[in-house]
Amino acid sequence: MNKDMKILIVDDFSTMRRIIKNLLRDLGFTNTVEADDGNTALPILNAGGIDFLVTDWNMPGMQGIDLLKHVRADEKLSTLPVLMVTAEQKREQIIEAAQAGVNGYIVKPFTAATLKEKIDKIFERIDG
Amino acid sequence: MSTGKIANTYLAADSLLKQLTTRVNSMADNVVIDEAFIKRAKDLVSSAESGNDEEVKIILDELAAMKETSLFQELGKLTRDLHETFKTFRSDSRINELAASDIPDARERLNYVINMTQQAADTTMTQIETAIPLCENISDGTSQLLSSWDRFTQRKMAAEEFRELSKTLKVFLLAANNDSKSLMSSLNEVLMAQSYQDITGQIIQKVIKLVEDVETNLVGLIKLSSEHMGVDIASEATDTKKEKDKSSLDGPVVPGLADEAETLSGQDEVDDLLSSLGF
Repeated sequence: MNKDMKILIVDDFSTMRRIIKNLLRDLGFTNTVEADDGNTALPILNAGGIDFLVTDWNMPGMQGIDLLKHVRADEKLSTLPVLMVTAEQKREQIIEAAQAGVNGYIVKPFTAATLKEKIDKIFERIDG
Repeated sequence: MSTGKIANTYLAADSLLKQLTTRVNSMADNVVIDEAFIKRAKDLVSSAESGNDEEVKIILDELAAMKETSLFQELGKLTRDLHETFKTFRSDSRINELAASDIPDARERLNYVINMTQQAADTTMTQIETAIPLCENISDGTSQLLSSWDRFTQRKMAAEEFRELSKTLKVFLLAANNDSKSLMSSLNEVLMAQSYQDITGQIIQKVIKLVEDVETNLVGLIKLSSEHMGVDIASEATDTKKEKDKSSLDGPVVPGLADEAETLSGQDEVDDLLSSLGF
């Protein structure tokens, strides 16, 4: 796993973005950018250079699940690893995210250990 | 509150007033004829036949009083009914007030709660972001000094190197002294930032009280409306609740409020579900 990879953090709450950013920094990932919903995330993704997407689900504007679907439908972005970090924990929603092609799913509130475990798992699969 | 519901209360009051008028009019014409009345009427006839003028006068007065008493009783009952209806109407106006000022007020309060929690989170994170590099400095400096110190105690250190060590030590101690003061001030700021809990707790309690008020008034209104419209509004409401838009997101799970069959209770269960899906 490349610690210099560029990570896009998408969440409508700046507090949560900041927490994720700090946790990622603790894990050694310092190259992060932020967006506050799907609509602001898409131009950043389209500009290229993003290696990993961490997104919330429930956001005004474009929701995380739609952002995920957009990414998977876009030829240039379709293989981008996506981790969903959300308060949504209904069975049908998790199944929907899985079907849309999410690489990992973390429910809020979460711990630094959970974040590390899921990121490790995602990149083990990709690198392995 | 909808104008329809206000209209219902008006209708109730209006119909009572009409009843009142009709009953007062009819009572002026009709006397309630009961056993006591008939007995006194018979007494009146016999007194008149026997020419007892004094007794006739007394009985006539009594009969008039009987007529008045039943009229007043009936009036009293209707007045109470009318009073109750207006009381209901007053509680309806409380709903008006809830809708016009208390609910927007609650919205403001809750927005304020969001702002306060956001501010507290920001302050806390800023202080932590300031504190972490200081801890890193202290940690890096102590590990370096420890290894030098070990070499010194094992007499593996040349005199020149020791002079360097003592300079480094002085620099480190000065820095650590400063850093620990900054750390303490950061920790104090974090501590102070927690005061939001008290304030937001009080605000939320007020809003809970308001929600209870709204609930009580709504239940009253629903009862009133359904009585006058002959519709069971309460059971209709549960029906629509079941058909709640399934695509809407539920947000954070609040213990005791979640639909347990459909909601997973944490990361472990989410992981289990995902692994059963081949993740």
